[in-house]
Amino acid sequence: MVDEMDLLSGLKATEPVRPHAFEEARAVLRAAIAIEGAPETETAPRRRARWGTPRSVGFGVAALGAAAAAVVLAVTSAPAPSHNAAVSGQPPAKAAPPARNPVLAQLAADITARQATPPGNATLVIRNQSPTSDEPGANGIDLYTDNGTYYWGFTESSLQQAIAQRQDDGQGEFKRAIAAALDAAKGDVAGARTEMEVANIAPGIHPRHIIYASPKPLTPEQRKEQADSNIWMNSVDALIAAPENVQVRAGVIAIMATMPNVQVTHTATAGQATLTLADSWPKLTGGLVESLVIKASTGFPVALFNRDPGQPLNATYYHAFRVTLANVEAGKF
Amino acid sequence: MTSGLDDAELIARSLGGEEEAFVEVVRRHEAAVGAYLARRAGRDLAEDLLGEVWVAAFASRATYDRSFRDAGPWLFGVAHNTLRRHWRSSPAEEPVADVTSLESGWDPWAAVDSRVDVESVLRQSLALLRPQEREILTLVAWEDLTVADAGRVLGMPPGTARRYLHQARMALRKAPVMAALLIDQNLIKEPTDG
Repeated sequence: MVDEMDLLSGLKATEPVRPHAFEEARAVLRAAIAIEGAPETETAPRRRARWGTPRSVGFGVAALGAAAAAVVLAVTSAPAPSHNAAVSGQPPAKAAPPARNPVLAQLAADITARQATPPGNATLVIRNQSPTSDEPGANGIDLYTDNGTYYWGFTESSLQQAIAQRQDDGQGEFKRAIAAALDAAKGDVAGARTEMEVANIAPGIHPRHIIYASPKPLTPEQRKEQADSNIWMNSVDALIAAPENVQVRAGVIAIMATMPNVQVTHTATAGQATLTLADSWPKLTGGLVESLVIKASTGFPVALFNRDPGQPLNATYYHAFRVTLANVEAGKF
Repeated sequence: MTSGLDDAELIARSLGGEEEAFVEVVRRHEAAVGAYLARRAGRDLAEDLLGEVWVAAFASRATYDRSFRDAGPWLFGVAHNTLRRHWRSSPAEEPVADVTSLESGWDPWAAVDSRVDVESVLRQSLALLRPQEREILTLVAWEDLTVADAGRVLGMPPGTARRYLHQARMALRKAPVMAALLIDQNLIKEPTDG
């Protein structure tokens, strides 16, 4: 008598992992073990997982066209100090306040002056490849509560399930990033930068534990870029997680205004005025450039682009809605 | 010499600074964990993620409950979480299966292969199960875990895992296409006289 378990067993066969892949995976593990044994912390840049694996493939033609619709109008960023000034033999720059990008500094000031209490207690975010459609795609549905708890599901029902299980997929990361942004909005941008740099690391977890890369010691330039990379990525995360919170937006933009390698460009996306903030880490990630697109008047996040030389563009558009956690959990979207 | 030690003892040694101890744990389970990933995500992605699984396990080994001598279910759990995080964050253009038609669940059946009708029906039926039920079912059917160990993978008590398994099997049997398939299979296996 054949039953369902017998039939399922027939699906057990799979294309096996190749021997060299086992060896490579063990090499990655050994690298991590070596880092733990190293006398000082050395971490590789934390690459945003959403940009995928080395195997990530092309970006659709239609979406590429949409991304191209972000038309560059004018480059307005102030002359950025040399990204490597602090490691070029010059005295450390810590005595002087960091230079601020005037466009971002003004936007942060404008936003800070606003007072808005959005309805609901959570933000539902659809990530997809369209600047105009808010249809969920294969990235699923994100839900961020106002206190930074993050739930995710491929579908509405699986999102409901994640909420019911109180399963914080952010593991506190967004809470820490939001807190850092709020501190920046209060004026302590230098302190907030420090907080933001480690916002992705849970208390009690040593930074070296989250690294999968080579244990080769980083150069001073790479260390500097690594710090910049972490601040950038965690700031973007805070902005995506709490887009309706004007103080979070103001804080994130105030932090980004102090990042020397961030280039700001006036753009237009889907018919609206936007700013495109681009950052790169050439000593760490070669020619990779990440670009955050925000609304020019409000700082509201619109899209995130990623381009590696020779690789297709990766683009993600964000569509945010205010909701209540209870309604989403009850299936009322 | 580590060959005579069980996984829990090796993890203890690793925590004590013995570098090769954890590598030995990995050697013991890499084929099984690799197959687990490959069944759910295809070989290419499995190969990409395997190193991440080991590092994540290494990073969290201090939390390992050493009353369990066999670390296999724990490593499946780390792999499960790694895969889940990957699907959560991967860009849409990655070669995932059609997940929009799934009624629930987080894990697209990336290696869907409909060359054989039986397989196609099975995978369609699996896709309709609730995620936890499907995971328990496949851990038992494919990874040869006991129900209790499958529950360990997902962090649920044995009783809950048994309930999920029962529900999953019942749901599969009741799925119309599956019911028809079972009848067909049994007719083939056990032809009646006359």
